[in-house]
Amino acid sequence: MSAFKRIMPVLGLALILGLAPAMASLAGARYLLTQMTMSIYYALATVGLCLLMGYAGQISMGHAGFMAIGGYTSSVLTTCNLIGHAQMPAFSLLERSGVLFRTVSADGVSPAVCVAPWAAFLAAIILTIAIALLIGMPVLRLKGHYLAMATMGFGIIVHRMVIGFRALGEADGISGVPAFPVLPGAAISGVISDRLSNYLLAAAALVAGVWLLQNLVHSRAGRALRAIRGSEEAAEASGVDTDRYKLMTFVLSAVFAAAAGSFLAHYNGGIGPSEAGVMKSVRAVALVALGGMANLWGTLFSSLILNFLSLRGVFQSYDDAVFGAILIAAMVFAPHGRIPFFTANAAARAWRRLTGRRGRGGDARD
Amino acid sequence: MDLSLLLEYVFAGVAYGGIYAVVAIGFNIIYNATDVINFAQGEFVMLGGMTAVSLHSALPLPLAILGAVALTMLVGAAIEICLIRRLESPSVLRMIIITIGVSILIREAALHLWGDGVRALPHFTGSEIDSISLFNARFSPQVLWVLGTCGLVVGGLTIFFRLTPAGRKMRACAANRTAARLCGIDTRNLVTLSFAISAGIGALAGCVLSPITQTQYDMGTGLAIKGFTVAVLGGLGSSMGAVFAGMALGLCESFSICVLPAAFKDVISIVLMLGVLFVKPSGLLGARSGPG
Amino acid sequence: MPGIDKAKTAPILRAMGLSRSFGGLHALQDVSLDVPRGCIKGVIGPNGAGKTTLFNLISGSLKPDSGTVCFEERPIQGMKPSRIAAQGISRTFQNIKLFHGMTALENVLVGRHRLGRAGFFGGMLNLPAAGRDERMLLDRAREAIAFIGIEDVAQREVSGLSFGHQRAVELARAIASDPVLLLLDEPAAGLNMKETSDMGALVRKIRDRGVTVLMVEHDMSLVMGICDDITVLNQGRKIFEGAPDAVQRSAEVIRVYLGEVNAEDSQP
Repeated sequence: MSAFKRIMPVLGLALILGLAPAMASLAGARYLLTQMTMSIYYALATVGLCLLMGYAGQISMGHAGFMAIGGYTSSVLTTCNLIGHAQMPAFSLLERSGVLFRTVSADGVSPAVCVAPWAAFLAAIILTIAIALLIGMPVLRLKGHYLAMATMGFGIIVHRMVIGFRALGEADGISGVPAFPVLPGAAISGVISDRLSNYLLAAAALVAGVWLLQNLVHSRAGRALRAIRGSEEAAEASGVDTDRYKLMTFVLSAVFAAAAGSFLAHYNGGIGPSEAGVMKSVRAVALVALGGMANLWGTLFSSLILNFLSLRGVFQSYDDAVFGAILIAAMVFAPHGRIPFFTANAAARAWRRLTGRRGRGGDARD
Repeated sequence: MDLSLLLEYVFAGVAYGGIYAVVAIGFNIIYNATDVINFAQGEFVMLGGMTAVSLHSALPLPLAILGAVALTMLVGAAIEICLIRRLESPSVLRMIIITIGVSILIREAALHLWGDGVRALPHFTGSEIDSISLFNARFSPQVLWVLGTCGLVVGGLTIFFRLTPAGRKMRACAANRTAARLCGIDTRNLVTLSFAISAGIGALAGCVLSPITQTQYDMGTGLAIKGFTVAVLGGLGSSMGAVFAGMALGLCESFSICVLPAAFKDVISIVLMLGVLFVKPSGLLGARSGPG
Repeated sequence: MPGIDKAKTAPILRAMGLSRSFGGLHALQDVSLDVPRGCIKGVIGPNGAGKTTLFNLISGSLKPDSGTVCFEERPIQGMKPSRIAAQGISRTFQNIKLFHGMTALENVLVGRHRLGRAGFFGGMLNLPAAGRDERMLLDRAREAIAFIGIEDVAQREVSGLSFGHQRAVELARAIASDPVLLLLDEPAAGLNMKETSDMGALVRKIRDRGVTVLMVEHDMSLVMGICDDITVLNQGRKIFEGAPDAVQRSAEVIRVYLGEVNAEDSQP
């Protein structure tokens, strides 16, 4: 597939996401932007899982754990007061290089020194990569329900850690997470007046993430991943280093989750232990299943739509039940992960017909 | 640590261990019949406890328990008939996701039926302040009920699997499903039966557990993880393995209070599970098959 | 020079004293085997003779209890299958293992995987080098498909293909990696007589491209027709090795095969 044809759907996504706030404004419902922004961040995490679960066929029941690791690392580092360590020799060096920045503590008067959001973000990503490598190496040797239970165990451990450690805020979580200036004049924060710019930042992050993943799944590496899902033994016999590919995918999906978690923590100005709950991981699995497993776009749209509805409270107290029902329905009625009635799929098919391309095999034709 | 305190930890440990063993046996029964790990296993325990509490408001305790077990068995059978049976040669991934979905639905249904409060059956004999004394260590008579139930389940299942025609057929089915089908055994109904039995013993465990730990709508996941740990530790498919492993985990948890904050009690079983899976996935006491 | 001479005559694959048991069952005991360069070598034997175990030991799916496997005079036993494949050994499977959910062409492209360069990040960023790499892979995959003669199903999803086509796709996938040695695990299983003889011609054609072939096969007409050299296994041991006509004359081989036939006949 030529670079141009490959970029078209991504541009389409950018267009849809770009038009959404305008439509919300026209409808006089600019307040929807908040939930739209949040659901974009959740979608960013979910498409990462789609790569691991849908394409490489490795289930992870602990995806929220990585989101929490990202969110909590950013939150802790940007809110902890390091002023007590001002005597340390490296302190001024770090401050001059911008890793640390001066602010005021929660009481609004006493000075405080915290880690700058960009440095915290970097630390979050590095920590996530380290943990994903450490967990992934033994865990990915497992298959089926062993893999599901082991990843779920990892997720529960993260959840318990978050609840159990005072430094992580225990049941209250962490609040007062500062804005994350990503571009000059645009910062990820929960400030109401910056709602639109925040939405656009989130949308840009999602478009970039999807562009990267879309390229990946259509590349040699992405094909190898799908081969692993099809038959691990045959993939290995074709020279695909399955252990390495699975580990890389695990780490990559963890990084997507951690980045989303970190952004979300800055956007919400804090994070709580429920972000690390098992149910959050199950939701991500449900969205990938509903999206059609090895279907980036299906996952993307199911995630955007359902997370938005869920955040709007449309499902009321049946929120979790809806996701449970989705899991069952997607698996019982749509074997091989193809959901014929799913609209995003249909739209994608129509789009392909319009541009004269065939199905997923189309990428191999030019 | 003096002897009486030590003994009290031991009694608490074996009581929980007995419950974990029964949950693990529930996993094993369905696993033997279908090669599927039923992630909703913990929910059967919760459902049994909750139903018994509700029935007990109108019925005497033994009848309430019996009713709860029967109703949960129906739920287990219904899950198999409505969902699992519909699938033709499903992948493991699909089955896992479906049972996870089922566990969520049961949990949410329980939340809407019974609320998020804690409920409990009364102690089967005496009350919560009664205790039996042994070497100055005091423990609740309910511990004996738990151990008795655990023994009853293991003994009853052994008799069922060895002596009854249905049980023998289930063993044949576990050993080789295709061969069993070719010999004219209706494997589908046996799978339904395995779900019902598994749900029934889970519910029974939920009833005897209820006076000790109380029952809450979201207790299932934790129990499922522990039951799975025990099942893997004892070797998937092995009942006696499950009993030993259950006791071991119960004691580990019980004594962990000495060194770890209570909040991390659940982490022990997970770490243990991960350790077993990483090091010797076929279980410490031998098993039918590993995860490879 | 003697070195060159040696390289020419040395077997491409040399297995020495391979043993492997499962539990108490000795699937393979002290089997040695040489595969000369450029030939078609057959491995035959009754059911349970250890043929597939031998294959799995060579391709790395199983690790031997003892013994060595040398490929191009370098030991490869105990390596991961992907590393063995990367050195130029590719294989097919007795019960076809295709990548379902992918087209035939994509399956063959995965077969070409070892000769590609583009990695995770090159693919993610769609770097120009990754694009060039992809076009190279695609050209060669198309060649492999044309060589096997399955152009008409190249864009079809493989689970919808006929059995014969699935076998052909698997074969195309195996040769797409430009292997030095090709392991064929019962290539004619499930094929009718016409298809079997086509398969034989195809295997010859592959050999004529310079690929050495080692195949396990039940179909005697195919084995006797195309193999240059045959190893006979029985109950995990090598009982005979030689040219097809020598195999057919061997009293030991006849006894094993006729013995098996008699045993089958005498069963109720």
